[in-house]
Amino acid sequence: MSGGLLSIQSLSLALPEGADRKKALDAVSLDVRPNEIVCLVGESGSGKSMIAHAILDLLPRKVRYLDGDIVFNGKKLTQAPAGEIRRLRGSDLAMIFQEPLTALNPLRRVGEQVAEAIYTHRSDVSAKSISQRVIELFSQVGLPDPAAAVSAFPFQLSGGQRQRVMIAMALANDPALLIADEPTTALDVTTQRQILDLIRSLQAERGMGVLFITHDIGVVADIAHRVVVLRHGKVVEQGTASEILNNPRDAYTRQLMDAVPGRGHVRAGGGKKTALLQISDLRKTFVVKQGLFAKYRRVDAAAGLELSISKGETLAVVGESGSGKSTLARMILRLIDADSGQVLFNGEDVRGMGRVALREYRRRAQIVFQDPYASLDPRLRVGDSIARGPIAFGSSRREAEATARKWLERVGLDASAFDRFPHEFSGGQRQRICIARALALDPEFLIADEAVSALDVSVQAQVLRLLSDLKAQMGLTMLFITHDLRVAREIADRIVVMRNGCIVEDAPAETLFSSPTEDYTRSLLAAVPGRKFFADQDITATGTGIHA
Amino acid sequence: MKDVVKTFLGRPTGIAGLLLLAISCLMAVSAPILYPASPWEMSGIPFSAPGENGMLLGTDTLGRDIASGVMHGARVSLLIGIVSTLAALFVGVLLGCVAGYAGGTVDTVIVRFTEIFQTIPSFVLAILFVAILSPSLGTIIVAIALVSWPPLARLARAQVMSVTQREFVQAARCQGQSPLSVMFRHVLPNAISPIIVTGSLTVASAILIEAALSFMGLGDPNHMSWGYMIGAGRTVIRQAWWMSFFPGIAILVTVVAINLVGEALNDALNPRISRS
Repeated sequence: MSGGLLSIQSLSLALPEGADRKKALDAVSLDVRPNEIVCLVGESGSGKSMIAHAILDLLPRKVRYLDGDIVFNGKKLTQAPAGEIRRLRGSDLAMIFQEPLTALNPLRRVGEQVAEAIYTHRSDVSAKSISQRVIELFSQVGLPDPAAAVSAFPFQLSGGQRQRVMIAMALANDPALLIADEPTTALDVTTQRQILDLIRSLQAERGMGVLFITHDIGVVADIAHRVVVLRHGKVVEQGTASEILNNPRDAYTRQLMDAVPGRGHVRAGGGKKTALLQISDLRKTFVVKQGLFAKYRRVDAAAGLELSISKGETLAVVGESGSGKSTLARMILRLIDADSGQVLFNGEDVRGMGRVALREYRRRAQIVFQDPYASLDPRLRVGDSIARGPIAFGSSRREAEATARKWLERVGLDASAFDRFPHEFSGGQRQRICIARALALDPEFLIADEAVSALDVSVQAQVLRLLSDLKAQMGLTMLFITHDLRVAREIADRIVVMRNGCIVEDAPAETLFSSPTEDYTRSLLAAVPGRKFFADQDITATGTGIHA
Repeated sequence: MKDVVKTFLGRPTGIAGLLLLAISCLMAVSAPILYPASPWEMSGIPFSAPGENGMLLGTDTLGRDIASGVMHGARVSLLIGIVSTLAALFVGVLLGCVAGYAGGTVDTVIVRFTEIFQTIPSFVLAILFVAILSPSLGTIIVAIALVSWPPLARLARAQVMSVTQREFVQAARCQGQSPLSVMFRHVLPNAISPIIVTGSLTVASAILIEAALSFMGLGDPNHMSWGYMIGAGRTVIRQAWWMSFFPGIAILVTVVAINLVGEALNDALNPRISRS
């Protein structure tokens, strides 16, 4: 193709033997032209990150190059000498990674790290002009107080700010092509919106080509000029954004679009019922001290929370990271002790429970955690992880194992999964195991703490469906914690919006989406990726218009 | 269990370590059969080089058989290394786990107590202890355990603290499991691998401490040990290298063997490695 900046021509990569498929990439061809954003969409395992890594020659050692070419600015990158690629990396070809915390060196000031990116490629520039350039870059990426930000360490910055530093680093040498590998997946919705806007405006300003990798069609709808859909290492379809999104030809693309949560009708809340959980004036303040002589910093995680959940209800608590929503969940289960206030479960005072009462309470109130990788014991067979709970409550080992097998089947896994270890499962499967573990104790109340946030959009949809099916079958009451209003919309009867340890708005789901009363809620609604696209689409499709 | 054994045997280093360790153990077991006479007995001409006068590894300054000494020494070194490490592990891991899991005041008290031991130079403490209580196998083992447990306690505490914060531990608490069961089934198995590796290094250093004590003349006078032999031969090392060389090699081989076994054990106990 003429005028192409990057052109990948029938690229094939081989996976090591014993992997779930033979080829990581199978004859993938795509082009990125200057001044356009190409979105590469696919589920995890589709090989989308492989493409990014192949361009920069960062492939894992076990992956072998088979066939095809990568041409950048008329230069063949495949099998180019290492020095050649090194010269391009970070100058003409820059990359932003998914996890801004691990992509920065924790022991060095962020300004130094960006400066390093500059003088690696330009030894002739003076130290003074480099530090000026760094400050200039920091203000371009919208870091507050750029002159002070240069001397901050990564841990002193929030996730969004770290990602801005990564972007500054990538832009340091005016790249012609920016590769962004899921740069917003680890961020919450409002920060994601800011980063997406930033990437878009910087791209337009500089006329860069951007290869943007994501699993979320909502994000695609917001920023893409052209779209490439990838599945199992093969290109399913590609074309301009409007072509693909409005008239997807392939069933798989359709499927990905349908998986985007928050587009069905809002659940109608039931009538008044008795309260299962009542929280009044709950307070918790964390006191953090960052250095030997630093002042204490007080963070209010809960500043007098008032909340009540009725039996059989699903309540979603929505907020950005740091709003205190996870602390709330942990205080309800007494994994963290509150400073003051009251938590009543079925009229019983949770904070005053003794050892025996607390144990019984924890059987009735269960939790599913966010990170399916950290919340299963890596040294225990998953069946044992599930069976431990019933055993702790007096079931015999045989009964407990039968219960565990039954639950594994019930959450859509095979009973033979019992003998396998957590690392042998995918993220979605692990989250199913965690759900089985929580429900095997036959609880009345389930807390899902960001239970789907770490999952791909398509897997998210499946896990959400599983949760709401099981909830209906067991008559559970559920507290669903999320940063994503789309997800809340999918599952909640009532939604509570939290910010800085306070409840901002508490309304039935329907009311919250149709007529939010608080500005903050409106800004959260506006941050949802792909909002406009899906709203337009659903109007044309069904004629109804209440959508997130 | 089968996977664990299989992974262990699949590591060349594990097999090598096991073989070397087996040789040490075999020496310890067969010493009284191959050399029924006491290793202290003067059985040859002093200063015989290896092979001279019918002595396989030569004799020392008093004509004692080096080969017999090395064989009998294996018994003392292995016994002291293993028993004192087990004792140190027991104390260290117990205190470390309690401190790490309980936190708060309990943690502070245990850490301060550990620090008292850490501020005293450990070898001086061991010497004092043995010198006051008169040298015997028992006092040497207690002395070595006494100076070896603090690092193990610190390590166990740090490990337990970091594992306790992981979500699967919270999930186990939410399942209603008792603190003891959470500790032994979830926290400890996930915290144990660096402790095992350090433990195997502790066996090695216990053997070295015993050797050093014997070298200073504080060994058990009834038992020949490698450290004593090196100590006795050190003054004439330039004329008769074999007197300290062979017991030195014995210490080296045993310590390396224990380290190799510890490393392979660490891999084998991790299902991530053993099941892939």
